[in-house]
Amino acid sequence: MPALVDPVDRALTVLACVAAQPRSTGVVFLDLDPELLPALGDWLAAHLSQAEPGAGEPGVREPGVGDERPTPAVRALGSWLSEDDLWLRTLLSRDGLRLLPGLLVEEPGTPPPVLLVPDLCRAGPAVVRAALAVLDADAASAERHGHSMLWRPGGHWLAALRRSEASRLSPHLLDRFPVRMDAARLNGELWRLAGAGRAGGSPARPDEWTERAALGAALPRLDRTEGRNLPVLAPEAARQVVALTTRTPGLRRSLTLARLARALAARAHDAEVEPRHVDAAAELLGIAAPHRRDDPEPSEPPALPPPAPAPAFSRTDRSDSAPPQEPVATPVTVAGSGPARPMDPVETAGPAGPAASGYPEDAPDALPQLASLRPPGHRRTSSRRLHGCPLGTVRARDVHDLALVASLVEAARFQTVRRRETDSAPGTLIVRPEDLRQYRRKAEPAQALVLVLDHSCHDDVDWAPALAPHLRWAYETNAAVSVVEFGHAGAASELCAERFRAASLLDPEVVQALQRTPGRASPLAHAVDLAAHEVRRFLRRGRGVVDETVLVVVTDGRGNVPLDASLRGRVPSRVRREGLDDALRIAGTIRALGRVRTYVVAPETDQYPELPGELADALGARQEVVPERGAGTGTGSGSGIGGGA
Amino acid sequence: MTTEDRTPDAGEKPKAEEAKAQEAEAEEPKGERHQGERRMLPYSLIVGQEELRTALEIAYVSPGVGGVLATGQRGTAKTTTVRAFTTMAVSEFPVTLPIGATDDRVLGGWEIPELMHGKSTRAEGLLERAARSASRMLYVDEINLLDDYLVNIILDVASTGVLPLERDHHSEDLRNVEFTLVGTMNPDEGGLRPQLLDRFGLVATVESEATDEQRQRIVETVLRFEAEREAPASEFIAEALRRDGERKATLDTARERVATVRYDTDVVARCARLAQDFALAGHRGELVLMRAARALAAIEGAERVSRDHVRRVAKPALVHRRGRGDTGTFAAWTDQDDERVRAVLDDRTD
Repeated sequence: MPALVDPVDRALTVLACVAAQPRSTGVVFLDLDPELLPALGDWLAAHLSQAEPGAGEPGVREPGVGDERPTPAVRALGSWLSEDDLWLRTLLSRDGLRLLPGLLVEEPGTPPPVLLVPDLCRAGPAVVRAALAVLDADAASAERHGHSMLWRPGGHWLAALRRSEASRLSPHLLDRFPVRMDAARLNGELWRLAGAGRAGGSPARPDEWTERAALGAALPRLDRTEGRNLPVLAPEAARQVVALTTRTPGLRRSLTLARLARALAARAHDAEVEPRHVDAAAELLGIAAPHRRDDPEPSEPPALPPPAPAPAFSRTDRSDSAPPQEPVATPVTVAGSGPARPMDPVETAGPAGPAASGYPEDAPDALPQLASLRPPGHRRTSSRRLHGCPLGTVRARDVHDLALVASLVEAARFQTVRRRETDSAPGTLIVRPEDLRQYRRKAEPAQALVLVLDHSCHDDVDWAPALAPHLRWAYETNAAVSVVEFGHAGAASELCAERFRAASLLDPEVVQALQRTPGRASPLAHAVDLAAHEVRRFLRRGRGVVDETVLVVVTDGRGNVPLDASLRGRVPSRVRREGLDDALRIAGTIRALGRVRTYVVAPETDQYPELPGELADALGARQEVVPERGAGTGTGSGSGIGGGA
Repeated sequence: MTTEDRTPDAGEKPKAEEAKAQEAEAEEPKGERHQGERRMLPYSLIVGQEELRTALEIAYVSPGVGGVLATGQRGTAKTTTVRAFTTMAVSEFPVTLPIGATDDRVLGGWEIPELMHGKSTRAEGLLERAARSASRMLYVDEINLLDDYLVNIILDVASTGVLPLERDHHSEDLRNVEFTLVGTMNPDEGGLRPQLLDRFGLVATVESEATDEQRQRIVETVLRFEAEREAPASEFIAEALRRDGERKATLDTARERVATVRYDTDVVARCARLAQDFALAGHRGELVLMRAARALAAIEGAERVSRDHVRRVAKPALVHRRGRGDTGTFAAWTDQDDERVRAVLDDRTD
């Protein structure tokens, strides 16, 4: 079966296969620009509304009535949504209080919706927990505020996700999204289509709504295949499915692969699902055969052979691209008996293994955040106030953080009865203490760690023992982590420090940051400036979100880049102490902040040994000296800071 | 993006569910929308899952065993197996406590639409409905993700069978609110609170089917079922439903006669010795062991409970009761544990 090369062909074919699935299916587009997700969602909704060619539904449609079915609603599930939004909503109107099904509840007679998650890594807790309950489930139920609802979920979920962040997510959640698409090459092609779809398409990016509409119009329509008279799964095809997924946990991926293969066979009007259909489905999903190197999406399209006959599911109405062609490498069946083939050379095959496949969570070094799907605890900071986003409401135990609308809704239920009991005039609102509701909020971290890493000075020392207590504290308290790093060989600009934020210490980026190769420049002033910004953000002066922030600065104090040079991005002609003085000046502003514990971790050195002390004094920090390897107790063997942390 | 502006009406109330269920075909579970085809995989088509299936059957035959917890990796059909079992046993889905349930639905409250019009009609909660249901089962999917305050409610009622209601201007003391708690969880997301773990009589460890042959059978079975359920008269599904009926008859017969099954000589003593050997706290462990062994004997048509019956239920009855149990995390059952059980039952202890 010829493999599809064009990224748009591949994506739409997968979506068309998903549309034929008998149950709610989750699709993740790895590295897709989230702005493009609505266009794909609209395409899927329009595709789902197409009638099966030549297959009527006797007794359902009247003769003469159009073949189009109702188009499913396309709903974005933002990170701010609460459980009330998803399961049962209330509407206050002139007619009084009305109750509406939530965004996920599927009502009889209405087509299941298409649900979009713009960034799965940052989806709200209510959304990810709902995904567990609804996706690929035989039945779903909601029990909220006096209402009980039961339905068969049929809505498909499309999510965008950065590949580099996928391994942070719970494998349990990712398992609910078994269909994966590498969208790295899809982005450019879709934006190009959006431009081509506009009249006189200009190269400049226009207004996004125009672009989306243009893109929706430019995407081709594929024939819709219905779940009737499905091709039979041949035993060899089932064996091939198992061979391709034998090492994966659970059966969901195996079943998804088999279902997609069946959909491909149905689209090709084949009566039986054969191993070639399984191979084609596996190739689309980025599932590598165990015996061969997978060929991940190359940066350049592969060399193409002479044109082959168009497959049954290829696009034929694209005027702006070459006809579909077959790539050189054709899928090889595991159980097949074809002739032996020499192995491909290894050198430019690109990254292989789980991290490069559509399933980064399979990588042995994947570090999913622990218990990320559990309901957040009611952790309070010492200020006794909660600042997390509202997840829902509970009965109020005091008068703090009242949810006014929810309280009024609670009271509204009883108005008729209460007015009758108390002889109150119509229109009087009687609110009683038991009506009051408080927000249930997502717990915000009560501790924060700001880690400043100067990679230019840790070549000959083992930092692990000095850093371990701070990292352990951050782990035990589940602190939020901000990392500011500079002076490493892979820095985007050696004149600037870099900053990233992580939800916890277990973020793989933190681990990577602890293992950088040293570089030369040392923009310490810029790093301290960024650190000051991070500390202030955590403290949110006057609002007291975190109880305690710990700032750990790992440096030898030799800042050789002035702040101005970092901000302008220009190499200074003369430096002298300017970079260091800038760092000390900014450090003084951190010292003035409350609720910050500061540490300077410095190597034992005979070159300018006083500099770390100056910085520690400016910060009001405790200084910790790390001996050179072999000179003291440090016996670490790691080349990076985190060698043993 | 708009949604239809209407009050929810899809099976909100038990009454509505019952009305819809009467319209459905005999094999359609109550509460499912009837669309002319069967949606739930028949129980007899479940491949593998022996430990979970046995635990569910034991809990059905002998509710005194307590609840069943299915713990296992993602994608191992835990939920499918539970739903298929209750559909086979009582022709309906279990009463389900979903993620995001509010306390008024768990405990009970008022029929809100009627209340808005000034008419106060009480709505039963999920705990009460579970106790009234044919399966007498309360099913909690992803139970380790349940909110703590709901866990507390379940614990209070499950341990006493009493549901005192003092809320929303309503006062009532419900008695005999007894149900079998069935939960599924993925241990990757964290363990259960020890108090909740203790409510489960049996813990079934669900593992991903190891052999390629079983995986192939699962893939073939599921895809064939999906294809044939659309057909008006599928022999494949009819045969599966016939086998479901046979299994139900077997379990119902066992349920009727379980109280008449006696214990072999010294089996009770050996159950006590097992509890002692595994250093179980209290007596719940050995009681569960005895009841589960008797239910298994009844299912197999035996007149007496043998040591072999005890041996076969030892793992699900004891796996979560060993060790300190102060974190809700329990150690995996090993070959050494099996050997210890055999040694006690065969009188080979030192």
